[in-house]
Amino acid sequence: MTPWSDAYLWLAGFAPGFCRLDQAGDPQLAGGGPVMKVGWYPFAVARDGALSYLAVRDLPDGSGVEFGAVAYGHRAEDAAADLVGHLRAWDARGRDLPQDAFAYWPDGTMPPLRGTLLSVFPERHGTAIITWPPERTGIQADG
Amino acid sequence: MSAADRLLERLRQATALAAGVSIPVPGDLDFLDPQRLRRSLEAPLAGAAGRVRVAGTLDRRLAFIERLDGRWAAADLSGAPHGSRAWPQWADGHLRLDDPGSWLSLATLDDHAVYRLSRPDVQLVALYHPENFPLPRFPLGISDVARAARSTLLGTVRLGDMQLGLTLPELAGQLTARVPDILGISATFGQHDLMTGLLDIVYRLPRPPVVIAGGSLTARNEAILLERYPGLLVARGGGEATIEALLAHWHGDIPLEQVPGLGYAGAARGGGLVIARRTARPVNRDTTSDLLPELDLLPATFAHGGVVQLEGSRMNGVTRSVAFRKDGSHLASTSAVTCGFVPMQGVGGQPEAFFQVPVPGGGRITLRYEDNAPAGSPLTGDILAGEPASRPRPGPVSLSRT
Repeated sequence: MTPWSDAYLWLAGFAPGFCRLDQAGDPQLAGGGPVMKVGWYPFAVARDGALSYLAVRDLPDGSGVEFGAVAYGHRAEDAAADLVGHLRAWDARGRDLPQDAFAYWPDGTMPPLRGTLLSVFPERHGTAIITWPPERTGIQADG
Repeated sequence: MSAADRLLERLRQATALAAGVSIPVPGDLDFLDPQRLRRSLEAPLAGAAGRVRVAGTLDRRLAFIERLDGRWAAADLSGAPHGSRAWPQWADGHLRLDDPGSWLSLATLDDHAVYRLSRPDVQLVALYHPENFPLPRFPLGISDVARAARSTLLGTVRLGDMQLGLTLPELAGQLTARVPDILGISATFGQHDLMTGLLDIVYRLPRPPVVIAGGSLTARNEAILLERYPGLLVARGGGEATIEALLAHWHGDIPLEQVPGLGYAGAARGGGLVIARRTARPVNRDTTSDLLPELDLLPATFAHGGVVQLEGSRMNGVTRSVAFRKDGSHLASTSAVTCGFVPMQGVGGQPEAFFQVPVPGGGRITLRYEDNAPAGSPLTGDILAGEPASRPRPGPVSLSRT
């Protein structure tokens, strides 16, 4: 099985408006089912009047799952498309994140920011950087 | 202004050094080890200034330099004003600052205060069979305990770790040459032979120190250890609150019964040894401000090819357990495992931005941003009332199956 929690890392680094999500009470969203119970995960993208989140369903043959995006609000279609675009990009480059992909550069040092695809996270006393692997070849998207 | 700048620039003036005498430039690593910093100041200032004491935790290190007129220059190397520190009760009436609104102040310290800053001498050691732990990990346990001890401003703390080349014979030599007032031992499963070997050495000393042991091994073997070493103290919990109180007990401030999380042997009854295993009631303690470890052993950990975990492996709210090794000027990961942990609290913590969004029909969701938070809520109006633009059925996004 492919670990897909790194999709969150991808979104955390590349999706503007990435945030964590929690709930109070038992809110029900139109078309989205119970919040945080079915098809909800603890991260979302909320920006410019739109909320989009990751949704997952089982493949009909039981061989895996499919990822989708649900979005509400202003320009929701665009927001859903953006999220789907990130998921496809992660699928191409982020599913085999190596163990040595993470680095921490203290303040006053100069991380190399060219030549590779990086996620850059400012930290209190430095910068955390993820170096993503090259795009996989021979990907066959079937959906 | 860095901690070094504070020492060099204004502290020199405050100490009223004679012309031509300057405060030596401490190296970066001196700031990780307070006694190393003390030594780096003491020797060059001999004759030009009096005693030097360095106390406090890494983030609020305190340097006291005695002037030749008997007064002291007190510098909070963090740059925070002295008045913002939670000064220990023992300092009342014994340590007076002229200007608590500044990080640098002249101070009056009586002998009681100087003694409290100097004793007890605490030595913390972590026991390991290095052959079973070929990859050294930063010794977080004793480093957290060291922080707790230093937060009291009582005495001095030195640390050692058998992952980092320290052997039992070397440790025995250290203890013989300089018996600490308190010896703290941390041991995990598999180190019982080292524990008994060390305790046999310690309790054969003419004047053994107070010995307190902690870690997963002692939690398991407490009764066995107490029966064999009736003078031993056992820290049952994390150890931070225990060491703080034990330092106070060493100074006679509280009885042993008031040291929280402590197990120890009781008095003999009826000719037999009764393991009373009494423990004082744990005190409520604000742990939110005590998450940062001391870093004395960080350079040695890296020097031995070891690894550390960082709060920096929390990236925009997504967490990984990442082991970092030193690679030149930066840290490079050797492993990364999915795991969850809470963000840093208290000292070192950064408040998150959050926005609550009501959901039509009841309840609400909360959006939490750790980095790049918008200035205001990104969701306004009843946007959650309408149908979503997309959904898993129909029209999912299928990804590759490879």
